[in-house]
Amino acid sequence: MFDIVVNGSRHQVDVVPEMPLLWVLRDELGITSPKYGCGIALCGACTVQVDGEAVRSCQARMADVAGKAITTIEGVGNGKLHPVQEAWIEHQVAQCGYCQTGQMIQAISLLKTHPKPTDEDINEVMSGNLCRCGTYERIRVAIHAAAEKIGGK
Amino acid sequence: MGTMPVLSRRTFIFGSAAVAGGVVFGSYGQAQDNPASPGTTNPLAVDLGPDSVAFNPWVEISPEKITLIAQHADIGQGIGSIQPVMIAEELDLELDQFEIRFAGPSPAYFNTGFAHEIAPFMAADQSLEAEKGRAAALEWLRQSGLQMTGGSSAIPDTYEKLRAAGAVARETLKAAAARRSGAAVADIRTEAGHVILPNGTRIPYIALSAEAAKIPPVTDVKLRDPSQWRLIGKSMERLDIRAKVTGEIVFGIDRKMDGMVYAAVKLNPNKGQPIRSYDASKAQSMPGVQ
Repeated sequence: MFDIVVNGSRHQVDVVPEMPLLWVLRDELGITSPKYGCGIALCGACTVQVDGEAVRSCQARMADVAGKAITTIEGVGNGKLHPVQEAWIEHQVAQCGYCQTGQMIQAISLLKTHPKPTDEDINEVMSGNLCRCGTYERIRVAIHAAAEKIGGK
Repeated sequence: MGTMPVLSRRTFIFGSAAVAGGVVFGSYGQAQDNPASPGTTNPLAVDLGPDSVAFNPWVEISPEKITLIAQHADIGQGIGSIQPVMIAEELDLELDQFEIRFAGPSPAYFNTGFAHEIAPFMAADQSLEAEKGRAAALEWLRQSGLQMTGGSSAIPDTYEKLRAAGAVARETLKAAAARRSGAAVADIRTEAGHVILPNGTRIPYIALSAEAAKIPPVTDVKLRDPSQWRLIGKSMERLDIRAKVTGEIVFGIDRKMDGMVYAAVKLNPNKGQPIRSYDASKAQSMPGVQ
């Protein structure tokens, strides 16, 4: 039995220690916004925050994240839309949308360390999040827009 | 395609007339023969609830809600949004006044937009041969009931027929309101999900569903001039963008059904070889495995 705190709510899950966090979230807790893409940490669709840091949940063992604060896209805005989500809507980033929750979690993490990211910063931090629809241009524009929103507050 | 019926001369002429006269759209009767695909019925009529109406395969109105059917099944390229918008343009609906449902399989949803791709003529070729070739292709699509999404065919397929579907629904709702109120149809107008009577009374479409179901759909409709359009051609927020950005949108992998189990396939690592034996005991000892 493990303790897990997701978006501020504490849960107890009875799973094997090596179960990936992604499956704990999706199958045990019914939180489906983190997506299964590759299962081997190559695509970024499963990205969630663990103690504020972007982590590939498909490769995070339950035993290693027990007791830590997990944040999915549902928890980033404290009941409202996060500026990154607002920018994602304003710039119509999503096409099919499958990778986008992971993209936004990664972008939020980027903006914490780089409040005013350059295109190079964005390329470097976001390059591990793949988008089969090819929305990269819009992702970049939306990240710049979100940086301005956050900086302007 | 082994079951393709041979094109008779009569069906070929029908196809030609349909293209030349632009009468491909509009005349779908509820639960009646579907002229677009003879022998089939309006698929929405099958499971229609009480006091509900399905004017055609794309517009369903119940006493509770308005549902618009998207026959092109794609969630990435925006056609899930533009299909209902084309109906809403003629039906005078605001973008938050309807639900969208993807179509089930039915010959009624055959893809008319692919005729231009199949026929071996350049797009600009307006010759009689080209038009006849396209008409034959359209007839082939109609007879095969080919329901498909792809090849940039969604807009060519739906540009007229979905606006017509909206116009048929609008005019039938107006006819139902005319019957109820005694007002002349010509004096009745529509706006934002309501029929508006000459005295200013506003009747929500959903309040007219039962009466509209009792009259045959008004199929003699004229499409609006593009200069009157409120929605088509204007920039809009994709109807599903918020659900995608909040993570609420349900993909296939997120769907759960009662009693659903997951299966994993284990193949013989030697390509093309059959199974001699297998031992599932290790897998079956894992928690949750049935």
